[in-house]
Amino acid sequence: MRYILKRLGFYLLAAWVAVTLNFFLPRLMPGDPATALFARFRGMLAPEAMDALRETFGLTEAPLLIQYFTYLGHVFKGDLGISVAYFPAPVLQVIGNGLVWTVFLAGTAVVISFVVGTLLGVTAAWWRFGKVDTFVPPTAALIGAFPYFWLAMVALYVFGFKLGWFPLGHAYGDYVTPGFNFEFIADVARHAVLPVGTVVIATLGGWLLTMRNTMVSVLGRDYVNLARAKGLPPRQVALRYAARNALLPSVTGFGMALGFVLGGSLLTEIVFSYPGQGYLLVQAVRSQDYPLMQGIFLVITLAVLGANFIVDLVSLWLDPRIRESVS
Amino acid sequence: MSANPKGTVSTKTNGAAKTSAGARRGVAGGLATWVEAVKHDRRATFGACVIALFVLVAVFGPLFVGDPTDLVGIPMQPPSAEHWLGTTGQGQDVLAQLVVGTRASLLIGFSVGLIVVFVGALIGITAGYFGGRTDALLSLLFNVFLVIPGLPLAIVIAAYLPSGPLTLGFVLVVTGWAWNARVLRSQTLALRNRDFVAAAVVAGESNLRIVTREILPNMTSLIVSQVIGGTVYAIGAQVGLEFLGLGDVSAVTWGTNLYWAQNDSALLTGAWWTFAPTGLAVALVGFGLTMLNSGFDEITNPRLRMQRAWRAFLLGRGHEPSRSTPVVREHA
Amino acid sequence: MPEPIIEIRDLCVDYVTDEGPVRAIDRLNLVVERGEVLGIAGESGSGKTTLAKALLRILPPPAVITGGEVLFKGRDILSMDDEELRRMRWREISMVFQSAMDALNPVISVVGQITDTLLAHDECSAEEARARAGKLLDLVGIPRERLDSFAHQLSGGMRQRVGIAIALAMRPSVVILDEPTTALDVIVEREILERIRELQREFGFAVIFITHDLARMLQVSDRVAIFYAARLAEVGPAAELRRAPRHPYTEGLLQAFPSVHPGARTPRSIPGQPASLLNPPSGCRFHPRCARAIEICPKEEPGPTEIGPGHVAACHLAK
Repeated sequence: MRYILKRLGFYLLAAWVAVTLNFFLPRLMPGDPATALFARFRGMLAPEAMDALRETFGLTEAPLLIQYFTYLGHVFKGDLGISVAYFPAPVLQVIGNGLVWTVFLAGTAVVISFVVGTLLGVTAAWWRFGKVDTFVPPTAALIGAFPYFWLAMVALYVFGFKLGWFPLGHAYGDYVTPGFNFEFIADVARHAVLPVGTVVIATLGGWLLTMRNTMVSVLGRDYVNLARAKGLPPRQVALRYAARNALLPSVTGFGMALGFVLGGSLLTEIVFSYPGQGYLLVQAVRSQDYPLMQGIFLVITLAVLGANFIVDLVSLWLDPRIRESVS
Repeated sequence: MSANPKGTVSTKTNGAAKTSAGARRGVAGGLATWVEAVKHDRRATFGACVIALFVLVAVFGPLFVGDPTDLVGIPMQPPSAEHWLGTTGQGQDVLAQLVVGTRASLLIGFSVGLIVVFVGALIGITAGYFGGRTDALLSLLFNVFLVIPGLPLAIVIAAYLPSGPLTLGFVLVVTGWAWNARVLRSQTLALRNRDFVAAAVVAGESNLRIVTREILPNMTSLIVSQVIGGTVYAIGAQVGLEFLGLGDVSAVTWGTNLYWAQNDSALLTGAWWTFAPTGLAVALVGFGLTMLNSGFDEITNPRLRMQRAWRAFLLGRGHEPSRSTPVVREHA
Repeated sequence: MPEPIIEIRDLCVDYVTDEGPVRAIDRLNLVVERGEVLGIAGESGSGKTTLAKALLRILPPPAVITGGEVLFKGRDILSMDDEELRRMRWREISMVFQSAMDALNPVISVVGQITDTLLAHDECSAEEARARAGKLLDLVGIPRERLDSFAHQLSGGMRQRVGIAIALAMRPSVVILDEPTTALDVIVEREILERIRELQREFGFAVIFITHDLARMLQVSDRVAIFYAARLAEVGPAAELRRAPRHPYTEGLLQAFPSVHPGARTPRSIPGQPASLLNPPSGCRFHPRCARAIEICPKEEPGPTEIGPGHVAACHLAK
């Protein structure tokens, strides 16, 4: 299908831009990149680690173009270099350990927030000027104005520290054995309540307001009026005619908002010492572990691009017009 | 002679029709609408007051508090008569840090808000105005920047540059301009097809003149609301990056305050006063700006206004608004 | 003897604005008879579409019906509650919207938009509904393969035919056509109007045909009502209005269309701007544009004057 190929091409291009950025960023440093980079680490790193760093960035004597292709080759093979902070573990391995947790945290939060926010938006728009419409959107806007990680800090302080209802951090306790058993799953869920809840609360307002506003304008469209004139039951007018159409812009926006939500989710991880990419990212920033930092950037970007592609497939399924519009 | 553009342009982003003033009164008209919004809409009034308060604190506040980096007392003291908001893990005064931090944070917030819209306008309007290949290329550029997650990119860039406000501003612009470009492109595209622009093109006016005289004045309200949105983004993202330790951690800003609070394990010692006030300040500014924007939207959106008038008309006559056209028998 | 199916008595519709209500239909009295084609003509903003949507009570905010009665088979539509309205809609009165592109749901197939109507009113199985949808497409001359098409896959003419098929789904006794052919070319327009006329003869429903094209309307209608600035200017049998219009506005409209008297006269448009509803002219609302206005016209509103059987004009000169 043309549409799918076109989108796929776009994501490949975006991925290429990300990889290229990754290659050129170290070279953006003031002065000669190799010297500057190594000057920073002199004395801190073992010689083997320095070699690993050099290897990762392809900072050799070869011309820039050759360096670039060598780098592309490495990335293509999945070789993102060696981590400095977790020396001598390869970056990909370090990232792999945390990726599951990030995807779990951000994924759960985004899905819950999207579903709940969208339903509230439909409710607010359908009962225009009603109780939900009067109180929920401004409240959501107010909560949405707080930084995610700050909400996380408050949640942790109140529900973890003061009330002791939930654990203070990590994805699961030391007392359970990871695996497919009830204790482990229950413990993971208990640990996820606060971080997931924080991200959901912080992002709910965005989905709610988008859906409400689109739905309000869709309710004024002729096809909704015709549905009403046809004598369809109100539920059908609200859901099948209005909400279904109002959902389309929200779904398109979903892909773009994903990167943003993920950013907030990474910061939330840090507050809860959740063992995902956000936590690793902070470790990387603090120990100036550039290979790890860049690896995380690349992996997260690829994950977001992949998620965007899935969203495209969903909108293809939801909107028959897309199937032919790309010609 | 250029035609005098009058009428409404619909924005694809929020589905609201924004009234545009005449070309020459464009900017003044846009500002006049803002003044009207602040005067007549409760939310806009609230937002304006909050922002004004914070700007006053940013400008004059530091004159009234001591040096925020001074070690003035025992670390981690709860609020008291001497230190209204308590002390930090280092023994600094939290209130002084909050007040002094306001200046740096707002400065970066408002400048980045302006710059992202400027860059977005430059690229978005160019794409929308010239169309064709220029449009295809520039659209591709901002679409790519829209799907690359901003925070990780910002972190990677910031990590390589010397830490400080300039670096911070730079990464916020790099990761923030694309959305504005996208919105302004589609708005330009809509205006490009309007009669008065076509007339100017036929009359042989220069591109620069058409853009500055015919197109820009008709986007004033959209641009102002984008600057506000950009500022909200910039303040939030800036605080996030500084919280990660990517700012200058020796400077006093809202973000570094939170960074130190987290670093000093404020949470695990129960020192809520070291992080609560700063977060509230960030949220108040963000909420105030958002209210200002939505109040403005209400004033410029005739449909919203009419629906309110309709509802008031019905309620005033003892009728509930209904889905089927309501019947109020005034003339028996 | 013709028998009324809809009787509109003193109907008033207002649009609420910041500056207060604006009257969009002012004390309208009009009867629709069983099985007839009633044409309604007038400039845009004269209240034609407002009337159509008011009959179904689907006028969106900021509209409010502020007075009068609309008796359908003797029952007042304006007193019905939501559930009564829902059952009356489409089963009794249906409507073809102005733009089929906007009126068809872009993400639901043609068959889906017909069967949901059938299922909402009748107890029938999904297969049965689909079969009935196929028959409806036959009626309007669309091949059954198009059942599963979406609006964007159909031509403008086909979309409007689908709109008609949907309108006929419940065999209503009144079908309102709100400028159904404005977006179409002349040939498609003729085909569609002829088809409607045939269907109307076959099923015997009444048609309210709204248009600003008076010439076309006089060809297809039994009776014609002319609206000007929220008021009824003239109503009467089509042939009589064509031959001997009594309101200067009707006359002006007739002269504005060349096709009525081919070769006889060059078309002449009515001078001046349509009346503003925000600030309507005093007395007869047409007087500022009327070539034959007399002293009384700006001072007093002309009441309805019966000229002949079923022929009424609101003009001081008609007395």
